[in-house]
Amino acid sequence: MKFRIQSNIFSEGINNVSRALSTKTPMPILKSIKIDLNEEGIYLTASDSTITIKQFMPTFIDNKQTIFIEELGSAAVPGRLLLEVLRKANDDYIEINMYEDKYIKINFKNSDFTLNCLDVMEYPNIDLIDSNEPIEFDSVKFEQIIKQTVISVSTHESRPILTGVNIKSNENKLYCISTDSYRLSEKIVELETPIPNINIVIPGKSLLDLEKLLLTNRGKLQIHIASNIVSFKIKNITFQSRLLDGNFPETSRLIPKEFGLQLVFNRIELIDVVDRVSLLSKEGANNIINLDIYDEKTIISLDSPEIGKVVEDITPLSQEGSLMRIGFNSKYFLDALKVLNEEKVTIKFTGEVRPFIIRTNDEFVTQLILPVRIE
Amino acid sequence: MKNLYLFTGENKFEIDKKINRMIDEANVTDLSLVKYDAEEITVDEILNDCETLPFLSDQKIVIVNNPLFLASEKSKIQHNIDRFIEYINNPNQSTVLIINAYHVKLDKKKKINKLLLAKCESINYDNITELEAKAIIENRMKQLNINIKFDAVNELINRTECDSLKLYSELEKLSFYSEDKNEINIEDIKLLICEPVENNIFSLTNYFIERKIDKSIHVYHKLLRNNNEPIVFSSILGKNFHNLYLIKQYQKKFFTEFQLKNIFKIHPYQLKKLFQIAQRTKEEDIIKNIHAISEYDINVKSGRVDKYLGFELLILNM
Repeated sequence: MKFRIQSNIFSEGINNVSRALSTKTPMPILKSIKIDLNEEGIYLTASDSTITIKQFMPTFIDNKQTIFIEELGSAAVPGRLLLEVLRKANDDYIEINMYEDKYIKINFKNSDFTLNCLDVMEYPNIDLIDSNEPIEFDSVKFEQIIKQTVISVSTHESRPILTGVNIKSNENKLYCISTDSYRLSEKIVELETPIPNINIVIPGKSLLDLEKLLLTNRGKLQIHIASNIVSFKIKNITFQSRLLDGNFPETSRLIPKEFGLQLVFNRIELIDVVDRVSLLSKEGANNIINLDIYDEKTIISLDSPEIGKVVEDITPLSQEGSLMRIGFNSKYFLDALKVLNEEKVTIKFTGEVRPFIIRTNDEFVTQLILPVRIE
Repeated sequence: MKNLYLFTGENKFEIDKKINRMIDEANVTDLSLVKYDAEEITVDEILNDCETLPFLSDQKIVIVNNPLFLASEKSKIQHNIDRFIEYINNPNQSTVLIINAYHVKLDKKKKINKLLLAKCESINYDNITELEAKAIIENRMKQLNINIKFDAVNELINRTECDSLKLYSELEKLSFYSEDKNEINIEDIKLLICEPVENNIFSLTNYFIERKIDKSIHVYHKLLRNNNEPIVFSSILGKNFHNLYLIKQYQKKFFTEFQLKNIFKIHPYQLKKLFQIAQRTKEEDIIKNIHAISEYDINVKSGRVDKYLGFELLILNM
């Protein structure tokens, strides 16, 4: 294998697939990126056995040749090292040359790197799935879905099914739900065309990686679903993830329909207040804030016996309903507020020991938090 | 159902069975059942969870395993005991908190434990006695229609050390093994059930005192093959001889085995054996052994003697 390529194109590709590189793995070969070179261009593959990213880089982009092939072939190159080398590359073009089937030479300007490689034949054969009826999305829209639901994904491995986001369809609506049994995020998306029935749970970690990938690659996103695999295609990149096994709990009856108290706040102002108040919270210990809701203003306070006390009040833009005192985890509240986009947020309460929800004008997003008991 | 439960005792089998039955009875979903290891998660986090409402059900069960902070020894992580006390005094009505203090010796002097014992529904499951173990074995064998020899029963009890969890699982294994048989003898037991390591070390003590040098060496090599360190044996031996010495002193004052049960916090089966050994051993011999073991310990730790060679010499010099 021997070729010359524009260094910015190559490093962008390596950077994209490197998100799937394994750090800890029983299979050392998965620390490598597989490079396949044929006449049409280069295929890059990286995988950590949960997610796999594959990218295609064509020889010609807009009739301009970017890859100059001398000899076809494949190689498995140490991923992290290659990425580091390319980041520091200071030339427009780099040349990659494999010899004796176990060394790879990277040349640019005056540098000459030789990296030891593993045998490319050891690289597992990863099938990329394709379905006939992919769901199509605008990538920015899907990025929003991830951002607004992934916050509630559980980090505890004791209930594996909750470490993912549930995506299910009903006629032409797509429900995306995540919960860690203390809070819940739900986003409903209306689709233009009805899609076949799906009900899958995608690991939260995979979605976070996908989100990062979508930040730099925007466009039309295709979602292909197979029995235990989901595959996202955007431009020349395929991002494939394993699905979680099991039944996601039925959560629809958890979201209250009637509310005794509704408050509207300026979102940024509320974030600032809660952020300040939670300064006195201790990580993992006491981060319960209290909300005392009076007629004209709401008092947000936190009392941490070992550290101290803080009280701050905020005036809601509008208020409707009876007064109340409620306590909950400030971290969950902040997470939820931060991922909403609008200027105003509405907080709807049903009772002191009932879950409450946070909504904006965009009625398709619901963030729900379970309160804690306060004296 | 109450809001607070405290489980104590050594009988893991019965404790687990009871807890599982409680979970079944409460009919909670997976989402409302949380298990914490108090050596990994702080009380603060556990209590935050207890204070939170149940998710999708009326009640929520929180199980705290390994509450070493209730024992006299030091816990690995810093717990906010004051908040725990506060919670115990005023538990959340929608949460069932189960403290599983299996194998944890509660420090009765601590304020928290006095409170727990007063406020919790406390359930204690002690290890089964030899007699109970015998009854369990005979019952099970009767169900299976299998004849079990008297010496086989004893060997089975020996090898499972009156531990009901072990006993039940070994009985399960025996029932599979004897599907097309109608008799179990001591050979079957020896074939199927492995000797517990501690018991081996125990028999090492036994042979040691009886001056059965060839057997001691045999057991010693067997132990080495299990990747054990001789320094471990010497410390266990030392502990046993120490207990032996104490038992000897009590025997002089005509204490019975039953009375000693409350003084020594060791396995009743182990105590029984030690008691027998103490009866037929001279006090000077016990002291001599204790000195020899401590000598060995010093020599190994100061590098004067090889740990393997030293231990063999220790056996030979008994």
